[in-house]
Amino acid sequence: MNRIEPPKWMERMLKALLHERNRAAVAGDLYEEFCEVQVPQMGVARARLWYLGQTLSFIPQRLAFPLNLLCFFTLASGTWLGIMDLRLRHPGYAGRELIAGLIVGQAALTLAALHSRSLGWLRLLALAGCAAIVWLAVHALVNAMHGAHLEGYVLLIALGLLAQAALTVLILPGLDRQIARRA
Amino acid sequence: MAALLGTFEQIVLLAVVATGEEAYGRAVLRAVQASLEEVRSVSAGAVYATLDRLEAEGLVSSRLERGTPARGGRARRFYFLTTPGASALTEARTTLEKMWHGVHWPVEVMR
Repeated sequence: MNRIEPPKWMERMLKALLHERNRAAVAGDLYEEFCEVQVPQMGVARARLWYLGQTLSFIPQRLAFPLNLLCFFTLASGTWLGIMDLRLRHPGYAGRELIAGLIVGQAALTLAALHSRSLGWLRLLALAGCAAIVWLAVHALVNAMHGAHLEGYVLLIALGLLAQAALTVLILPGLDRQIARRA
Repeated sequence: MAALLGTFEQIVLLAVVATGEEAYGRAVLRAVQASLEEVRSVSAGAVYATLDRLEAEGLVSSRLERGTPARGGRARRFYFLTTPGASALTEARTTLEKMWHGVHWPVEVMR
């Protein structure tokens, strides 16, 4: 009788999420568990769901580093925007200071949620803040498209904010307080 | 003084110790899941991330071995407690035992 194996695309996704060093061993461990325990005990459909869940659990560790980098980038960009607006004081600069503050605040909040042991409320706040930076980024992109001239730095910061929000939504809900770093 | 181990790290290290010669990834994962099944679900990602971190800190070491037919030939990584790992576990236990000494069980809320 043919053995029921994990779907190939799920195994490819798992391997893509793993560092090369662990690729074969972790894929083998989950393969063994899938074939020997999950399928006989839960049936094929639920075993596949289990495998998918285990695969997705590797997303936080794979994407945490890029999210850290993005947060530092938006933190620096927001600080730079805030300082420049404060120095130039063009009409409406107070509103732009708020925007810079929002960018800096969300970056700091996300970094704190990534590194703090008490993730509960920080995680919720950081996730809620994603809606604000997505709105901000989309608004900036639309304005940039319809503006007289394209401002490259606006485009860059807006794309950075969108990527930050996407990674935050992917990573934070799966972050486990039990795997927080040693005290 | 070295930092104390976190609770989850202690559980993973103890799972490595408890599974002994058979402490390859899946066995450690199953041992951790079994120990916590009444408390919370534990994902493979959390366990392997912890094993990687413990290895980077020198508390466990690992060795890759050839796979078996049951795994479609995929390799197995076996984990071993190192001397610093044993010291860290001992220190964590000693500290907790000291703190628990004289505390009434079950713990009651002081009003």
